[in-house]
Amino acid sequence: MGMRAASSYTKTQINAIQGGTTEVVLFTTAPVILALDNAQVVLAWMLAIIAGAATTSVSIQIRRGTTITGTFVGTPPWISTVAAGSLYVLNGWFADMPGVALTQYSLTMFQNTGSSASTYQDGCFLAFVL
Amino acid sequence: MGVRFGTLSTKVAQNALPANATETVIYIVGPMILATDSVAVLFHWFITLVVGTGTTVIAVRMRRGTTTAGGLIGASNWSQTVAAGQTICMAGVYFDVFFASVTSYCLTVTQTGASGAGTVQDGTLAAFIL
Repeated sequence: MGMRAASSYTKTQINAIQGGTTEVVLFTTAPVILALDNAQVVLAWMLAIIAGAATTSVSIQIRRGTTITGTFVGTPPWISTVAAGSLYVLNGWFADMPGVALTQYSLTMFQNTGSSASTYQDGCFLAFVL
Repeated sequence: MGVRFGTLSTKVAQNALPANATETVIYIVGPMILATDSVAVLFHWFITLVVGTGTTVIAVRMRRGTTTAGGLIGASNWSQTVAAGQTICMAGVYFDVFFASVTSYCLTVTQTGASGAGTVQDGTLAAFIL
């Protein structure tokens, strides 16, 4: 028998990438409706960027909610060392057990001190319930 | 009672990389048969290759269909700065909602600046219906 997973997915960039250590929300999912309170939510993301001037690292976080004050999923930041002007495809996935329905998730990003904003090329963020 | 996602996957490379910058289809999955017209199809892709002479950027794209003429999935500007002789791994996730069943998808690679062929070492393209 076939089935479908409850899911939410987006490729709509919410905010532009900022230079320096300003954390910004790049993507936010819709509220995720859980089949059971203890259901796991798989979160997958991809981000294609051109590293900005003086950028030596970019840091990615996933947070519950829609803002940069939301609770972390996992123990971010998830840091990648980069070279200014180079192109990168960053991606990853994590699992969360929020225990409550209608949780939204946000993918956020910040860079290192003194860096200029990287250029966003493409990306996506999705959540689906196991 | 067990259930299954509708899935397709491949690790069979369709073509070798050329000694130029011609976009080349590497992996094909499909056709997909959807449970309903509005479902999303989630893709996971991974490729590891040895960068050929002259290549400065590896660009990966996903397209509907089985050829380089197919519609792009997302902006598909998924590029990584590289240097000849490097062995690299690239991976990512993306999704598509195409409202028509029985669609195939392909993953392509373009080697910017290539004068020598890169060598695909391994990789995969998997699709499953959310």
